[in-house]
Amino acid sequence: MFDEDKVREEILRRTAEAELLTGHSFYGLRKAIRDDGAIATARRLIDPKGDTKFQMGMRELKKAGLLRLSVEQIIVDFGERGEIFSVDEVEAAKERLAMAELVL
Amino acid sequence: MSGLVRKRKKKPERELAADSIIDPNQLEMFEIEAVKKASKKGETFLEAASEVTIREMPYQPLATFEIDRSDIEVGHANNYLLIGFDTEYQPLKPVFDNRDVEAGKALYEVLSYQFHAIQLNGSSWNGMAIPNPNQRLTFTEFLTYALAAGAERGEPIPSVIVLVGHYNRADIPAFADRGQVFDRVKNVRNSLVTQAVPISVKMSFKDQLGPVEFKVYLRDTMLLAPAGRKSLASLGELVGIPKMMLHETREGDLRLKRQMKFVRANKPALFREYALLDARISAQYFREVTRVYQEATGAKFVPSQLSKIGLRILQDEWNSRTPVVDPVAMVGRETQREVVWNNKTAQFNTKSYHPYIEEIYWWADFVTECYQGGRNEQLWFGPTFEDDWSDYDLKSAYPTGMATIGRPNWKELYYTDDVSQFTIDTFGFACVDFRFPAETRYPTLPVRSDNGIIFPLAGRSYCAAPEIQLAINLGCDLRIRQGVVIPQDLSDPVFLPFIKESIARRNHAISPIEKEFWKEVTNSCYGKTAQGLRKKRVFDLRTGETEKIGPSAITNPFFAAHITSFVRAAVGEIMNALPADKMVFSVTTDGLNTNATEEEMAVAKRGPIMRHYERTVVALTGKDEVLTEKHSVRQLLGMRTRGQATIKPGNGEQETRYVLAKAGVRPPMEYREIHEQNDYMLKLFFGRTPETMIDIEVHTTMADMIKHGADLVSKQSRKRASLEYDFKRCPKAIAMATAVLPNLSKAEHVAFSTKPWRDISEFKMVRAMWEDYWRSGSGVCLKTIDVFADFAEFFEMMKSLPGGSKKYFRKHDRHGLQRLRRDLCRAYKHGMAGFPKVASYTASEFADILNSTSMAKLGVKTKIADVENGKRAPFSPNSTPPTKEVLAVCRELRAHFPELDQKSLVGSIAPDQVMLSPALTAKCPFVERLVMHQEPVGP
Repeated sequence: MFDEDKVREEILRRTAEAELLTGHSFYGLRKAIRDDGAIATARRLIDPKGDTKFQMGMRELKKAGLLRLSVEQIIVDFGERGEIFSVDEVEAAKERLAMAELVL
Repeated sequence: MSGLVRKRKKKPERELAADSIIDPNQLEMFEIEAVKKASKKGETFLEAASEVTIREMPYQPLATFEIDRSDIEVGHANNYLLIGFDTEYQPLKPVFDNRDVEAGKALYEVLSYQFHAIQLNGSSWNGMAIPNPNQRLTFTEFLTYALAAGAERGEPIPSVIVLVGHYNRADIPAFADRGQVFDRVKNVRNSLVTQAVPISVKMSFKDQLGPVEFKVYLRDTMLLAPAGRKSLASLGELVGIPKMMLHETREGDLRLKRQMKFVRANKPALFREYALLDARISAQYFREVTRVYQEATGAKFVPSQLSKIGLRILQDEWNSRTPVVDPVAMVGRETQREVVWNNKTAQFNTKSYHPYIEEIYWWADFVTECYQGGRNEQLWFGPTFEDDWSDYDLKSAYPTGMATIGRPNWKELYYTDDVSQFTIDTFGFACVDFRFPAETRYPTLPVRSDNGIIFPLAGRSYCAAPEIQLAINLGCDLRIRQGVVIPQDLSDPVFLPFIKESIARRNHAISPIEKEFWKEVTNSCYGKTAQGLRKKRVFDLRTGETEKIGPSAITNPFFAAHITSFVRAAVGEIMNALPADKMVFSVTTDGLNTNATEEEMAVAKRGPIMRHYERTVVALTGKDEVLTEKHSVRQLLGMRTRGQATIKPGNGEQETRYVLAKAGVRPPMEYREIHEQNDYMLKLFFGRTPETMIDIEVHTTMADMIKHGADLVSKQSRKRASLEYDFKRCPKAIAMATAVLPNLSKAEHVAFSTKPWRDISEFKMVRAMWEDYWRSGSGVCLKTIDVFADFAEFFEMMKSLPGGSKKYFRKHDRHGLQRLRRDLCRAYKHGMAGFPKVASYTASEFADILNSTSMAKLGVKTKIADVENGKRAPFSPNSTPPTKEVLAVCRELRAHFPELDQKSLVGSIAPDQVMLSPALTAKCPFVERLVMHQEPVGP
């Protein structure tokens, strides 16, 4: 399986679970994956130069205590296994998760 | 609006300068020159529009702010608008390095600009501007926004603006036209301020009737903050505005402050509240300082630095005396005027300046030599024995020293070499040759070296009367080589009334800010007497070069030398009055750490210098309290000057339980509390190796900002941990100590007591050999007795060699055998040092003989070529060090060459030369206490 497929599959799996548990639709995320690809979407999300405003989906996950289902957590999980995402990307994802805990 | 620069039409020099200065009295001498220079260049201005488009909240639409010509009140010199300002930003990465800086990548992203404006009548408003991503506002856009926001509320807008930030060199770079601002401000102790010449901003309006000029004075509350209260949070406390927490936990708060971009995006209301608060604190603090200053002086406009405020109040006091004292004459200067032709203006100008009067001028350089800094020494290396170790500080040392100076009669200055002319009541300065009694534990005459001042037993000192008096009291044999005395009228003191008044005002002050204000006014004035005497330099923003800091209006080497001498004499007298069974652990300018008891200290402070000190304190405060105890601990660790830590804390409050001076090391951010920092220093010291490096995180410098376009961000570099003893005193007796650290682990380390060097050359020799030669070459730290013994042996070996022979000595030739081989071959080939004139062995046979000695067993083998090469260079007698290995080889060689003259081969140590090895066997009661009481080291 290619890296792109692995990441897409994981994101879609967790997104489906999140939708089931929160009732929130992650339509925007699905569309971004469809349009730009899963890895590119994930990387854009954690780009420190990008927008740091958390989207509604992330707010819902935080509210429900489900940050484990976030794209950031997927980056951490892959990266810590030495797959796909770099150390810096893992750090950026962790920072976003920590920030989500503090500001949402 | 881009803040363009236009040349203003030239005006005559004098008119221009007078226009620009709100209060010429507050200018330092060098600033007056700066004003003239600036004026000669022709004043330039920034151009502003009357309208600006700003986004006030993240993700909200833009809004237009406009100011009308009729909103502006022009020409009211005493009416100004105070604008506190601040920016929030986030570095593009947490820490940069020098390569990033040089590549122009040391930048932050500006998140917001905020202001808090206060009118003189107290009316206030505020605002926050959010820049577009990756864009920055110009200085003039920000200004227009702040003014227009007020105008839209119906506020009249004065044309004089005081723009005040806190540590504003962090914020000024946030403006897109920062270069224009840098060109118009001065770097004062790393703060950016306008001094005499404000920033001129000309605002154009749609009516095309010509611009209105605003004069913007830039200030930094950092320069107006009292010592020890430099943080914005501290200033907030002083004005009753506590800093905000962004999160209920401290860790969360710190983390969010490092990631303000997230806060801005996700909690915009909280971000705004937080951001505006800092601008408000700056404005409110400045306002309060201005109020206190106005009440004290009646002047409207506060100087840019607290130390200048003290200077101004001092000069006011001189002016208020009857008869009036000329502030220029008081400091030994006079006003001179000369008419000079100005080519540019094609007219004559009168130039005035304030040189020293002739009598002072002749001696100024000499007395500047007599101006030395504070006494700073570490008198014990390694862990101490357990005892009650206390830190004592002289109360208000420098102000008290100032208060002892009577009105000098500068014109009556006279030369003398009569020692009796130098007493505690004398205003005198001298170069002296001195010799203290050999048993003196703490000599008190300073001798300058490249590593600070040293206090040897004998030598030549440039000093002042208080120390000469003390030295005589201590039995010192002393001869004045060159001396000068200025008669003084002690009934008319120079500084005492000002200091007394400041202390009284401080004692009567109700608000914390007034107390701090008067404390700082009292303490900061000394520095102004010494300003510009040493080659201290500052980065000039206009020229991009470092320039020497100029003198202040009261710079005077006579005052500075006397004040510092008085304080050193006071400390020195106490040190020498301690009982023989007590010792001084460290000295830091106006304080010392000792195991003497309170009762013993009470006796120690009864000497003549300290009684004089006490009388002066009583005259100033009405109280006889001269010493304050700061810390009390059980066991200390001595590293080097200004390097101490606590092994066993005392029983007092958290802040007083630890003695900690970090020797220039800055523990990482996570070590916040004093005990954490102390533990960090202990770990660093006991765990150090020659390769131990420490990360240093510093802010980008002014030079980085100007030369490389950097913002104020953190940059990291690494340096070798410098925790070895600095040898300011000679090791006296040495032992191994076992320290039980706070985490209950045990650490073994060498410890030694110290004694004074006999003269400065001993210090220089040992220091140079330790730093430049031995330590760097051998790669060791001074942690064990063996290392000390090796160094002592090496030092004495090198000392034994004549000057030229040291030069090519190989660092790794620890036993001197390579040198012996060279010299034996040379002597043999030239028939010297007892070898036969005609060689009795072939080169091969001679090499075999040398290889049959212990020299070969220790790895130094001789080849035929070595022997043959011996004839190429002359034999130099006494060039081989007399190590035990060398002497053993000489003994062995006598079996083959009975006439071998060992004395002409090896060097020798003269009986009076400095030796370090006696410390290995010397007795010292303090080291014995250390050995006696320590627990044996277990596994």
